[in-house]
Amino acid sequence: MSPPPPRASLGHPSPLRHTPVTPRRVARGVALALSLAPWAVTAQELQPSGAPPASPTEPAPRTVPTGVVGRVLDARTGEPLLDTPVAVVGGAWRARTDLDGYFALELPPGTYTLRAYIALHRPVRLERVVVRRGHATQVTLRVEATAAAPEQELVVVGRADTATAATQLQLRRQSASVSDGLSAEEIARSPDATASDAIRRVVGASLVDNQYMNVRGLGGRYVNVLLNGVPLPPTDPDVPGVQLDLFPAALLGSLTLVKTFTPDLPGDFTGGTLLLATRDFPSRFTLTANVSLAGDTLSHTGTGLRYRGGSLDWLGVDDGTRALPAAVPGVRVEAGQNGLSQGEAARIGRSFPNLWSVRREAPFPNLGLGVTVGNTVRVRGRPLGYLLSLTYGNTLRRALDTVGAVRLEGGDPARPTIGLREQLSQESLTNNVLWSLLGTASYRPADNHEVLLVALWSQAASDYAGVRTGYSETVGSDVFVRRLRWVQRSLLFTQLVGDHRALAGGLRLRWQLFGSLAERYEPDTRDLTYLQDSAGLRVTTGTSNVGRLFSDLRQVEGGVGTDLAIPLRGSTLRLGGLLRATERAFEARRFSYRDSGAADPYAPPEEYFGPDRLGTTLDLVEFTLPADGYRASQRLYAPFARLDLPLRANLRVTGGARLESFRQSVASHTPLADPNQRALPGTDRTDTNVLPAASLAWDLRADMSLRLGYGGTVARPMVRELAPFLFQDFLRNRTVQGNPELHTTVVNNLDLRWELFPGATEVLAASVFYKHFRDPIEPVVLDRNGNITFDNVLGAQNFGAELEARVSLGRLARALRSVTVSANLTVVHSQVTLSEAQQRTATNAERPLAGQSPYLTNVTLGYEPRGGRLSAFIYYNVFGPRLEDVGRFGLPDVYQDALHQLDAALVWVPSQRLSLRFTARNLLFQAPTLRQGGIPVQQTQAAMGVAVRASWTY
Amino acid sequence: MDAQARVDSAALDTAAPDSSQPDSGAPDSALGDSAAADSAAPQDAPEGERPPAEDGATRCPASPPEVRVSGEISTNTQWDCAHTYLLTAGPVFVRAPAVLTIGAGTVIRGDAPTASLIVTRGARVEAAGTAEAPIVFTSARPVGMRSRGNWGGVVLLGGASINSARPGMASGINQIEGIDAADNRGQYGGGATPDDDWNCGTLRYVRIEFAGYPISANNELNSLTVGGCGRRTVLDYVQVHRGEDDGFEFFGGTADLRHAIATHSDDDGLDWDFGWRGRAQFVVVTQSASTESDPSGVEADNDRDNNNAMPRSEPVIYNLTLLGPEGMNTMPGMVLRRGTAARIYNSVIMNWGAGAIDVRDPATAALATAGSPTLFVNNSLFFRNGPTGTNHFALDMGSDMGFDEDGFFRAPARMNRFDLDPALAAPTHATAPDFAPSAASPASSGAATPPSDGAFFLPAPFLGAIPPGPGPNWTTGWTAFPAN
Repeated sequence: MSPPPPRASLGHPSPLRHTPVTPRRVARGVALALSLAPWAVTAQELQPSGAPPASPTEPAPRTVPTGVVGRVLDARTGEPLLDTPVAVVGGAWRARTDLDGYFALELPPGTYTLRAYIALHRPVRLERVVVRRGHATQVTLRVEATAAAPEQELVVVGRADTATAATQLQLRRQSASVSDGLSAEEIARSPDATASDAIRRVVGASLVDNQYMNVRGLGGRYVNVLLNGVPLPPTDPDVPGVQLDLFPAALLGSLTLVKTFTPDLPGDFTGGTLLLATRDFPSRFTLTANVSLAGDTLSHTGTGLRYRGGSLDWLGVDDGTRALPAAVPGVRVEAGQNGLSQGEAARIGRSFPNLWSVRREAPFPNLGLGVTVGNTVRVRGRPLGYLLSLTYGNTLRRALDTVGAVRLEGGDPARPTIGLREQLSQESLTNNVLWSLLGTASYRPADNHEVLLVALWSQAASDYAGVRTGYSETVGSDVFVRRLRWVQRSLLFTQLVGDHRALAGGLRLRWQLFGSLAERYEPDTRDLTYLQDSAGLRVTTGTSNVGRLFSDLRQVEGGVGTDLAIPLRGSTLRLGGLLRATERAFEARRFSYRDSGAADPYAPPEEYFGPDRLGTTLDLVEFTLPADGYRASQRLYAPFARLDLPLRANLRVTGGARLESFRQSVASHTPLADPNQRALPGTDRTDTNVLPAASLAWDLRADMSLRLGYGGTVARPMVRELAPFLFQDFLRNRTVQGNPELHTTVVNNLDLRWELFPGATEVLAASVFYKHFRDPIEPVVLDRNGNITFDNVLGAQNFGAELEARVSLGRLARALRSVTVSANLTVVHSQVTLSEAQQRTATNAERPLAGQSPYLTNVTLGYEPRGGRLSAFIYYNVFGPRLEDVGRFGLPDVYQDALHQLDAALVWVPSQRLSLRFTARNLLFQAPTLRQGGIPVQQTQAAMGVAVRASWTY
Repeated sequence: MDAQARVDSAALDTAAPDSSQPDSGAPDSALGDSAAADSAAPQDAPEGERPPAEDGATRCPASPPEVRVSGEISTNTQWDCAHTYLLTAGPVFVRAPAVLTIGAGTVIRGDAPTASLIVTRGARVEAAGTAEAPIVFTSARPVGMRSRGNWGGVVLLGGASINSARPGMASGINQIEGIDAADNRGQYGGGATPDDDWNCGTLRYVRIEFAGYPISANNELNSLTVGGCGRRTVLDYVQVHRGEDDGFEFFGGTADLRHAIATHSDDDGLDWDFGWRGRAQFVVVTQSASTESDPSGVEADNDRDNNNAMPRSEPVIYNLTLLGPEGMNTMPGMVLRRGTAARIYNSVIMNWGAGAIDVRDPATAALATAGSPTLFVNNSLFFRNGPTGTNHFALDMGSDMGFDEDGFFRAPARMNRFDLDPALAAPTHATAPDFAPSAASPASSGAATPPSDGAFFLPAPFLGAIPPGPGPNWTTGWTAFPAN
């Protein structure tokens, strides 16, 4: 075949030609060549799956009794092109390629010319294609992007290789389930730095604490995050959910949120499963470097609280400054116990770092650095795509809060008024360091075979110094409480993913191997309480007033997943499963001080806790609790079967079931060597759930469809919620402790959705949904002192409706054709059902599920003139008031106020190599407020942030 | 001496109704008990039991063998002084309907801060020592190495009423402090059907030493915790000594307390919350210097979350001796707050560096200023309180909306007397304190007559817990004040 493009080959794929392209050519339009890495297929095909795409043909790889089957590829990258029309010149036969670029045409025997055409590419013709009776002739069409591709997309080179907005829409169109996505292009355009920023742009999603996803108002245990099809482990034992800020946006190829269950997805979600796909085959050598500086009106305008840390703090690694001293034995430290003499105990006490003082320091600007390098090279004549990305961020966040507590006061005894019991001020500075190294390598050893290796290493540290001051009603005095806390999280996550198409009999096999190591290390969290009296600050001792906590959590996980697609006369049967084993070990030790009463309580802390005091006026005492260690283990066996059945050309049915057998055990133990070790309440239960799913997708018109889905899912207690470890919530001045009796929640979900696709990048959708929860898990107030535990409540129901639109305003007026609006609104009515016993202690029997917002809205306004160097975006997001703490013993429920967020971004591209992005966050100056019975119990001072980011591309 | 004699006989009188209770009879005979007695293998036995020593004689061996106790006691069980009992780490729960009977002279030792004895709702403890052979709960460490917080403490839980923050909400159940959140063995209170006569058992001639375990703020084991216990519970002749947290703490209920002594608790000597309506007579609280955040002699609450929660804490107390730390100190004698009522008579309050009494908040002050007050201290003697020694109500922390403690407690109707030395014999002696006033003490006169109804209060025509004059008194013999 002759080299000049457009080329086409018949049966013999041409070698890839490595064509240099300019950045702007990479930033192609909406119909950009789409590279679907196998994991992305795994992820996305469960929604779209073999479900026949927009053109009502058969699933990939297609076959016909007599005719042509083939594939359309991008001539330069070798990537399949989806949704590309393929037509017979001079005939009425046409087809569109599926997600993998495959198409099939049933033709009478004869000789034909095929033509493939796709926007922004040169049309390609393939002549003299011979069709013989009883044979499906195989062809490959290669199309090349046109040099004149418009440059309206200001996409950082190397980012646009994966899904664009158009392809995301395309995927959704083909999906059997309800999903929404965000393309790399959109992520890059937004001011997003991490996946947690990006998720805010997705329909129905919002964020808690800026890092945990909440879908349709459901968060934590009700959402799931998969990276390239593999469930990600959470790294923080205190909170369910994956910290999305671990994933720099630069690494993301696409982000898809699936809201209905299909059997090939892990069944432990109710709100949604977020599918993150890393980027894959770059189209050319890519080198991108960026640097960003940011600040906000609170953190970067005044001084903040710091204390002396270690020399490697800037790397997110404690250098040992905070480590548990080596002198601490494996037994309880207390003089006279375990063979420890008074002198030895004093010596151990003195070995602890004597660092307590906080000081004020001037802030430095938030710094972000990133380097990404990638290319597709040829190994043994086959494409090997690799990407390496290193990101580093060092940020300061200062917070000013008032934290209060309410009580019931006079008035009508049946409806007492609410009054403020106490209110304290809190000031803190958190220095967050996050860096990550991500490498991906994709290789296609043969046309229909791909393997992908992903390795992610991420290191994060959160260094906190805070003080709380004010009149404490509990103590009856002015207090000055300080906390120093360092939390370090590491995650090593690797996966090997394979995809084999067109195996014998048209089978397609996908598999994943994965493993991870996670550690959460919290050395020497120091709490210290002073009373403020006329003579100054007076130190207090005792376990509730001064404490040092050391904890370490390690988790190892490994597993394997498979998915075998079997074509069956137009339908596809998929069989597969997931095996996953997780082991976690946690240990903590706690120390306090006991004062003999002889020391000067007004002395500065370094003097009061000084080495000459220990063993004389002051003793270190250990108060490690019996449940301060635990081992947890999880085993998941989850086979599934899924059948995709095109009933008619415009009607597809998907059904199946997933069996999830989940064993969870948590066994607590004291971390101390203790001959009197005794069994503590623990958990060891196996829940086996059959999770059925069925969905119906009906194309009412070529651009309109209706979907109905049903699925059964589960929500499981987190290890943290089961383990009776006692966690001190410093901010809210209470404790949180797990409940070994918690059990799995079973959820039944129903979704009905109508969608209209007026243009390639446009969508209008409306949906209604219903969720029924059996035994949902909620945080509950345990006792009259406000301490928290977790419990299964009897049940809950959520009814909801969702509206979504993404349209170009060019439809209204031609002058507005550069303006795109995307908006969504989710409304949910939620109601829990309480058992009789729960009703006796609950203040309100009529209330929504904890954490559920009654409404959510996102609006994005984008201005992107064709050929312009400037573009601008405005993002608005609001979620309605949501129940934060369930009130018991007569105290009202605690709600977080509706929170309005307005952000803006301006992107300027002064040259081909350089782009500058200016972003502003929280233009409305809003901050979360918690309210109990109308009275604010936690108010955070609002801050507006600005950032500038420069990206340079080789 | 007369008082002494009367006290004892009256004590027997009040104990009498107990024995008529159908569910509170003497424990099953030793033979009837689960015969799986572990005397043969006393190590690591879940429960220890053994036929009691011959009654009356209580001959206790010099070094009895040790029985390790952990887990649950769910059948009637007897402990006696022929053994010592070691509570190992973690609480030991007595589960309904078991009765744990502890014989005179028995020593129970706690081995770890979490080691504690929890008598759950529906179970009972019958611990009746004698003045000569008290029952002692103490640290497992050698004498000289013992200190506060060496072990957890004793917890009695029952089904009497406790208050609820919202009127009409019949929660009436709470989780006791110091026990795992999800462990429902920690529940107390009678819920919708409380029984204010609830019997949690008997502690008579019992000493609890070196206990207490503050796990976290508002989550602590006290030396003796009494949650939701009712009137048939007998707490008479009980000493709590050198506890890490509070000495006695009552959570709701109606249990009475008599002949009680709380010495050198790290936090408060006597603490009550959530609607305690018991009666108390002859109570000594003495404190030493502490670096706890809010130590005081008495810390009295109704409810934090609704100061007017019902039923309200409203104990009636006669003959309280409240003695602050020796020398300069910053501790208040009595903090009355969060809507507690209390009728306190015939007391001696002295040596509190921060002031004798603080009525801390409006809801509490309102009870004192009401037409017929339910919060007061009457017929009492105040000596050497406040920074100057005579400004007894110098303390005015918090926001009581300007309640004038000085005016209120000095009002003639209160019949209090100030700045008169009660002349206690040796109240601050380290190991052998004597809280008795001299015969000529102003505490010998001016007493109000306790009500005779209910057969609880004993006639006691003096102020403070100890009858004036030298010689043995009710604290003699069975109390002890070891420093370590």
